[in-house]
Amino acid sequence: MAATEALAPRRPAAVGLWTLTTAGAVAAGIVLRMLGIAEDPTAQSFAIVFTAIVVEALPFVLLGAFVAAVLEVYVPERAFAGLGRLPVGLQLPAAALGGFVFPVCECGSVPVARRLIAKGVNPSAGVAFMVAAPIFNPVVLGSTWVAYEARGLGMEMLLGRGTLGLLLALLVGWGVGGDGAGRLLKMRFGIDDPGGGDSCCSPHASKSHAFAAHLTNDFFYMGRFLILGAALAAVIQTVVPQAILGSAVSVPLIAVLALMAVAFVSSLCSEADAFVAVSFTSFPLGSQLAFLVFGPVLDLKLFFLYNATFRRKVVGSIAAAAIPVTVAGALWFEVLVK
Amino acid sequence: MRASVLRFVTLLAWCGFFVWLTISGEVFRYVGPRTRWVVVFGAVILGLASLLQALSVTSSRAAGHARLTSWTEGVGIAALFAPIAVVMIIPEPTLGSEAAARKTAPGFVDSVGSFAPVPQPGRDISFPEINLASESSEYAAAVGIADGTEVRLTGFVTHPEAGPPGTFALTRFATFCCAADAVPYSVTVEAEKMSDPADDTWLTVSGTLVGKGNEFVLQPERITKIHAPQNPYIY
Repeated sequence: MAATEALAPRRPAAVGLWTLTTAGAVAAGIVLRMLGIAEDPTAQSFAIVFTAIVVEALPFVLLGAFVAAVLEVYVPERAFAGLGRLPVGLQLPAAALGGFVFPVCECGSVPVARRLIAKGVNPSAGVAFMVAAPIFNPVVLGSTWVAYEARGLGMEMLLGRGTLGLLLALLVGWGVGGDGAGRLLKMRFGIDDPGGGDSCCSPHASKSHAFAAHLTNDFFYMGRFLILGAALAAVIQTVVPQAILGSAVSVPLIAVLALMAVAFVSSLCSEADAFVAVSFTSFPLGSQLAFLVFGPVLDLKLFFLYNATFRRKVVGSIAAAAIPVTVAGALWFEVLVK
Repeated sequence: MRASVLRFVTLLAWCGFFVWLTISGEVFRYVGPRTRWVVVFGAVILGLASLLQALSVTSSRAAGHARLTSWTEGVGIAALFAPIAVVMIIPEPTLGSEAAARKTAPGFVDSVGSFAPVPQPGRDISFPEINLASESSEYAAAVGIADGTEVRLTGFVTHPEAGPPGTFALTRFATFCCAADAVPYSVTVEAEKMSDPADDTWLTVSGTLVGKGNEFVLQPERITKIHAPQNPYIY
């Protein structure tokens, strides 16, 4: 019966309507071209930034979906059960350090964390992995060192980013994951509900079919939220002049908050954001660290990916934990470096 | 339409888009050379996913498990086509003077960031070197920038608000990861003897650098109007 439900279509759209919608979209595109939108400088800026963010991030969302599908289909249940039985005090730091041997960027870590939690890994450990992996991994720390070494601050920033990122992952994981998987993960509308997604759970489905179904379910579900976040980030980057933040430089706390806001809006990949952070040389070093730590934990595209994965209050909890810890850590780092 | 078929078409379209970006060279409009591998990797992983999905479509049909696409899923898939549609509607976008004005904020992004390269005597002098040499006499000496240094720069025209009369700025964006992190660099060009070029006009300017005030400005000897290069950034 369950298999029958899983295969039932949910309000299928008629082929004629799909044709009409596609034709409408093509017509809209032609009209926009005729109106000269291709020559408009603001539209061009939006097109470049929007496409660039998606092109950079989409392969990693797919990679995360690949890994999540491998965990779901090919890793035996008893492995997760064994992990789940370990004390939280052991799972949490092990998961936070997991990014070092399993480097994924922020877009890929979300589906992997979701799958780990769903399979029985302690939710705190799953969240800690999700937060730590985009920061505490060799590629990201290496790029941070390269970016800052030209200013003679490579080791300071590497240690600062690694330490604060790890601390943040442990605190966010501990604070957010305590409610249990059931109260953490969201029912994905159109995938987890009966009749949604591809039929990955049929007892007759082959492993390769189940793998493809899990892979595409995750990719297509997360992909739409990535597009939404990238579009919003591109609109803000295209419309808001950076000069409005120029006056924030002189007050350390305001500078930290300002660059955290820039990190949130920019939605940059953690593997390259250090090269952007280092160009904010007018800002105190602590605020540059805040940019490097906060961005991979919470930015616009992640906001939508988190909302797609976790229940609504979880995103608020991540922000409530990440903002004060990042601010305090960045200000302390400023004092230490001076 | 069958959901699995629509998913296959979407994956294949994205794979094709990544392949086109790589082969056509358009990839450099969106990402820098350091991250070009992401696009190649994307083409491979999307191709692999397309293949898996094609096999899944075949096996679903054989088993009679094909499922129609719901409206919810259809809207999500349509969203995934948005970037491809944007590139089709705006085929050759560039970051120009409007973006440079928005991204140039005194006191916000210092013109001399890590993009300025470590001094390498003999290296071609470009925008970051000139910007850094304007602020550091030691750096200027290390890279060999002084009054009378001959340079050849390619960039687009901008007119900064604080620019002296009779001048325009030749500007080029530097990127590291992708166009989302582009930072503009400008060099002032003295152009009293020529008609003022319009914003966003691409020029190659040959001339000599002269220290004036707190910056090196370019006194042009030859100015050539060119088409926007396919690779519009410096790295």
